Amino acid sequence: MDKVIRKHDFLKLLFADLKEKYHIIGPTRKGGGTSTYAYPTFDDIDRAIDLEMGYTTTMGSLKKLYFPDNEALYQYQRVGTEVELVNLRQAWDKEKVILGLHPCDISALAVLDKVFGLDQYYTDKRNKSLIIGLTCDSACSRGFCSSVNSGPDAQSGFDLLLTDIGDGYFCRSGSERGERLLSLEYFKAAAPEDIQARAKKLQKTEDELKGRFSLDEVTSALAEKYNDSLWDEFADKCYTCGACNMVCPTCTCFTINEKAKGDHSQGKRVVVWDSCHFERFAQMAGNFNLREEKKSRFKHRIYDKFHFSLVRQGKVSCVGCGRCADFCPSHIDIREAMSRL
Amino acid sequence: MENIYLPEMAVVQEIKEETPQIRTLTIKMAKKQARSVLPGQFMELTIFGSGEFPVSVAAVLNPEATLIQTTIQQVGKATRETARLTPGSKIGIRGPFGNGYPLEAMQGRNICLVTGGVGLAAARQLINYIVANRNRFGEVILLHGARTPGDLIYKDFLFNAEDAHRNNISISVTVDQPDQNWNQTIGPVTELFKKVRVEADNTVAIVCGPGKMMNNVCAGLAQMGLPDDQILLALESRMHCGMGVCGHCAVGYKKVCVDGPIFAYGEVKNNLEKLI
Repeated sequence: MDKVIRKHDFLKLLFADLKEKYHIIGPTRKGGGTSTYAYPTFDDIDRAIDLEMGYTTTMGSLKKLYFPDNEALYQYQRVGTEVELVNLRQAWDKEKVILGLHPCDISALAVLDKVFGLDQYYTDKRNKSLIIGLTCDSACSRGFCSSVNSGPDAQSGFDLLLTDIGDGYFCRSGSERGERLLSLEYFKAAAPEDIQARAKKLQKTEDELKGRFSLDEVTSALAEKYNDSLWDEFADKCYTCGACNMVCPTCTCFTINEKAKGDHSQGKRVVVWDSCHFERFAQMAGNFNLREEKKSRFKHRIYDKFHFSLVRQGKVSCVGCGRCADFCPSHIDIREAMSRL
Repeated sequence: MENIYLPEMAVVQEIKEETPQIRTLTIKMAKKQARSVLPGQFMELTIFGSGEFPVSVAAVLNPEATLIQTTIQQVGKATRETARLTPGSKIGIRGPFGNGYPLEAMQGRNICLVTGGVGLAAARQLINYIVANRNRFGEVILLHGARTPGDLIYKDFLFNAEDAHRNNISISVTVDQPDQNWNQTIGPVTELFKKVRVEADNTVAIVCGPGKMMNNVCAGLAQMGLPDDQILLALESRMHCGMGVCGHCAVGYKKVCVDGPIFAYGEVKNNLEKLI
């Protein structure tokens, strides 16, 4: 179902209605003032005025909400000869609405669903989320969503998808929950010119995207070029800092750490994000490392996104958000690797 | 809601010193709830205060599988802590995980087990299964190698000629560095290939040991004419979750914890990233 809402109604009426029922998460600006720099990020939104709907990209992705970067799993305590366990994982007490998620990040949630689908704490959070997406106003500088079919338009994964069409938002529903929302009185029927305005906006964003590559060509080249010298050159530039993994909306590797008291009488086991670029990531007991060479770890990430995921799940797991290139201290741009394959 | 990372409590009932570095623990689960543990599957064992590690189930001692045995070599931070366990120690258990051996496809075949060092532990439950269902398998041979006679595990089993005869299993053992009492084969486990005859088209080989040994053994078996899909390898990897989530054991498009730990040699050979 397609409808239109005036921006004023969106910020005043819809926001107030959502706030009554949901905890609102949306794009907002952090930092500034005495901080070195200000940046848009997803955070709790109390007032509509704090929303920054015109943002291009955020530093971190939304994955932290569903896959915290530091989550205590349980606590153990020795009491005499017994050991007592306490579950420390927490479920959301209130449903959340995620406002303004861009199509690449909406696609990323589908990748997370495949990985964490067996974890009830994860699926509970996902079921308690209402996704109100937002198509991009303009292309971000290093994104390549159109090359990996995750933007600039989204086909699924949202309850509502907004597009800024000037004085209002064009709203498309993607679920029954979304349709029910659209039945509220401040959503008006979409006129043919609104539909045109939406198409025009998406076309403009698509035209602005740079470094487009053919996914079919890339995936078939990858299958052939595992031992290509191209990888030496890229791996040589990589600092193995793991920044790409941290900002990536579909990197989900983690380590379970032991946080024990010195005498082992009490402690917690905690999930923390890990990076496949780190030297000890595939290190086993007995000093045997499956990916000792930096190059093999560099390739592992690229292949995991564009080749292994395709073989396993029939779909590449990179959503083209461009954050890895944005935050790489060595300026490695995945688009360059892809175009040179 | 179920917290899939929360271990089940268990108690160490008995400890057997196999070698100075390797111990076999008999573990009793606190929950009496029946479960099934297939030969070749593994569990995550928690030493509270030190960490968690994956270990293959060496034996299931009761039909409910609430009493199991695992054989642990002390090589890493958490496994080294197993040296401090005593009967009565409380530990945590998660699992079983992994695919296990393809028992149905193995039925009616000759079985040739080739193991090295503590790798024998990963085949131990399978051997028990074969013994319990002996008429479902053809000829069964076990070729085992270790560095020195002092590094041999399960000595009561390896050198019990009477049981081996009764169970109709042929067992040969070799060591790399013999001591003065050693009167059996000397050399790598592939040395034992010279003494056996393997019917290539009707034999399934089971291989578990250090990576280099598995490479050499697979090459030897291939030379004897065994096709890739009849060579099964039990692999190990760094694992944190055991359920295909954490990513540590991902090698190429395979995940050792869910696609393995039992792999056909063909899958290993054709994987872009090296599995062994």
